[in-house]
Amino acid sequence: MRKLILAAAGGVLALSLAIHAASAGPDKVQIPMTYASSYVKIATIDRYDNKTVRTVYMNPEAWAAAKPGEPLPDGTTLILEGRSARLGPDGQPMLDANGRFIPTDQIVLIATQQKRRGWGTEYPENIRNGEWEYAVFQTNGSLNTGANLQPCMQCHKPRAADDFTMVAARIVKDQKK
Amino acid sequence: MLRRFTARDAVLAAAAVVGIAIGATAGSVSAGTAHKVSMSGSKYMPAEVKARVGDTIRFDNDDFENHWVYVPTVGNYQVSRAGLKPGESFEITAREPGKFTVLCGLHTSMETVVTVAK
Repeated sequence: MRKLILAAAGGVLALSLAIHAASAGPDKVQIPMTYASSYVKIATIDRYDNKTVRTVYMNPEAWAAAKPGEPLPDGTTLILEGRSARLGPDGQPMLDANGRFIPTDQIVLIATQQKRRGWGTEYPENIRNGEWEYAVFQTNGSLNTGANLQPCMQCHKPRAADDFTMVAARIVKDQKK
Repeated sequence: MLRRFTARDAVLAAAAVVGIAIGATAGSVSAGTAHKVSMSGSKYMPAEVKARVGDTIRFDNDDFENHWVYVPTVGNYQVSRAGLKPGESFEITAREPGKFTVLCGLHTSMETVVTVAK
C-alpha cells in the first residue's frame, strides 16, 4: 500500500512538472543554431557599456513579409547574439578602420524574441509584450532555464510603438521604405 | 649688426601672430566640429544635429537620471551606451555621410536626428 501511495505521489509530481514545463513561456521557444547562416543579419551594434558586439538576426520569412510601419509578422524570430569585443592594452575595445568594435569568437549571449499568434496571454498586462516571448540559450543550443527574462520584457515593454523591439521594427522601417 | 625695431617690424610681427592664430583655428575646424547634445529634462536638445564627416556629436547627461543612448539603424552608426549616469558623456564620431535617429532605451520620447554631410 505504501509503495502504491509513493508511486501515485511520484506520478502527480511528474505530471505537475510536465504541466508547468508546457505552460512556461521560454519552453515554447526554439531557435536553429545555424542562425548565423540561415537567418538575415539585420544589425550589428557596438555596446559601449559592456564592451560587446551584438548582432541581430531575423528569420528570412519574417524579413520578407515585414512591412515598414506595421507590426512584425506572426512567426517572427529575432536572435540576439552577443560577443566580447577585442580589447586593447588599455582595456578598451579596439576599433577597425570604420571605427567599429572587433568581435572575438567568444559568444557571451544568445537571446531570442519570438512572436506567435496567441502567445503572451499568461502575463499580466503591465509586463506583457504583445504576443512576444523571450528565451536565452546556451552556446550548445540548450535552453537556459535559469535565465531571468523579466528585465527583457521590462526593457522592451515601452517600445510598443516599435512592436516591442529595440531595433528590428526600426530597421524594417529604415531599409524597406 | 643689430638694427632698431621699427614700426614696420611691429606690423610684420603682428601679422605673423594673427597668421598663426588663423592657422590654429583652421586646423581645429578641419579636425572636426564638436556638437553637444543635452539630455536635460529627458529630452535631447537640439532635436536635430547637422554635422560633417570628421565632426563629433557628444551626448552630455546633464539630467538627474540615467539615460541610454542608442542608434538602432544605419550601418556603422549602430551603437549603444546604456547606464549613462548624470555627469557622464558619450561621443559619436561622424565617420561617413548618413542620417540616423538617436534614441534613449529608457525614455521613448527622447529622439534626435543626426544628419552627416561630406
